[in-house]
Amino acid sequence: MIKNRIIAICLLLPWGWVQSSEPVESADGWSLSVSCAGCHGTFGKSFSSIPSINGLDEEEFIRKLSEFKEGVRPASVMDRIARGFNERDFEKMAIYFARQKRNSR
Amino acid sequence: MTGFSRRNFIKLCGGASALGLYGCATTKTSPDVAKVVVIGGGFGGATLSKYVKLIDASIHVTLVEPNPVFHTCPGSNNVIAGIADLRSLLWNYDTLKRKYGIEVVADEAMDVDPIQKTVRLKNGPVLKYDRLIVAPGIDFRWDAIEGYDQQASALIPHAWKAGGQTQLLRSQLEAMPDGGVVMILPPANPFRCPPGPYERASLIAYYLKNHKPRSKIIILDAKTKFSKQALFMQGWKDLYPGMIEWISWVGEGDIERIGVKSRTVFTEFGTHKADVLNIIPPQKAGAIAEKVGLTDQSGWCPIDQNTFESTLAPDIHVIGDACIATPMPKSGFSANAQAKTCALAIVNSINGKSQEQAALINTCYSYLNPDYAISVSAVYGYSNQERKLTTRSSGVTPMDADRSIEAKYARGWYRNITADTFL
Repeated sequence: MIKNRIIAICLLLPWGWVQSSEPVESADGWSLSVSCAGCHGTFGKSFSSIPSINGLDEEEFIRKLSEFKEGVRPASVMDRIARGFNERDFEKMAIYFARQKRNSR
Repeated sequence: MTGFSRRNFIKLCGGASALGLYGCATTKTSPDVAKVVVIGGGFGGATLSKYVKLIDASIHVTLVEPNPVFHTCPGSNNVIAGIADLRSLLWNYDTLKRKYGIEVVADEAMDVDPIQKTVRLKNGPVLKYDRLIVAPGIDFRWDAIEGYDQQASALIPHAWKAGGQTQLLRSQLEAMPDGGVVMILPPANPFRCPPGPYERASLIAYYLKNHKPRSKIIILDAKTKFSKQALFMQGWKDLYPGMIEWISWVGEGDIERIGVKSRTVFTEFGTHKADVLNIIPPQKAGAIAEKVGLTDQSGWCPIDQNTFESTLAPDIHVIGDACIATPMPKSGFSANAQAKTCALAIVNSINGKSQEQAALINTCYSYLNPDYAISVSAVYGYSNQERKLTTRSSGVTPMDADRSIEAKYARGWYRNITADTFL
């Protein structure tokens, strides 16, 4: 009964509403990750020479960020940024970016 | 509706929509739809409008901005130096309207009634809000420097709000004869874009070196030190030897008055005549903030740095250059980051949830020439113990780093942050 009503309401929703509901999936990761968009683009999708980070594998994301933080990965900006986060933050952000669509990279 | 979460609702809707079953939104005029009104369509206001919609599209967002287009300050020094066209700085609100369903009202906010929770517009109807965001950027303290008022800025540009003023300074540089003196007067802290005056000096030097090599640039500073000073000084020595002279406040003291027609600066200890004069006046929060009673004696808006809610008026949030977000600098990037944190705080508050742990990042790139840039960046977070924003990490470009890579990043950053804000 309630399911029918929900579907009925859904029929009235525009596409954008549904598509844009994605970020709420991981609330805590969302609030940490959106700051990355200033350089890497909304949802981590870049329109420039700065690398896209949407759809990155979680382990790869955490490994790279940890290497930046430890100063063993060559960088002039990301090492400074990575030092502002802890391992737990990296994990939350990794989950967030892994969930962003890879096909939009 | 027990046991029926918003998330399940979204999932179910996602399924239904995947079948291509969708129609038009009908909730817009419903009285129980939460209303967010945003005053100001710069990096702060535009980003906030977009992100409120991204988090919860059922909220009605109205963006009040009198100008139909926006010229970004980032990139404007490139226009002044003749490297880029003014049109390269131009953005509008069409995508925010079309893609996110934000109501963009081309009108000016005249006053706010915080009790009735309404905004009065110059031409249009009174707007009701549940949450108001004030993001007016800066205004100038026209009474701070004797002789330099708004009228004088038609002759002596500030070029600290991009657009016609940017073009005016460009034209004056083009008209200046070789061997002329360009003088830049940066204000004391705090002000919009701390490294901006020094990037401006660098890029003007780039133009003069190529076109009017006997000319000189003098920076008469109201400060004794400035952002990324060692990096700028190193770059000036390498790229423009003997061309840029920086004079600290210690050397000249306060500016006593300006001779507008003769382009003369009278300081405590001396007199300087310029061929092109660029005065960046002391600043304060945009006029509407003061009118609504959101500013303190400093002229800026005190806020709860976790939610960006004004400490002087409930349900009104202030973001961007107008707010006191120390230790964050006043920059487009800061405004963009603050907008997202504030958007989440507002939506959480509307939906009865508590604020989550956020991170705010700022990076300011400065060009010294089109292939040479430096940066300062930092990560900030809200400290529950100190009840304020604290710096988690910060740093500048290493002295031996590749400046051309930073220039590449600077271009990429502009592209992505403008898309994150306006597209």
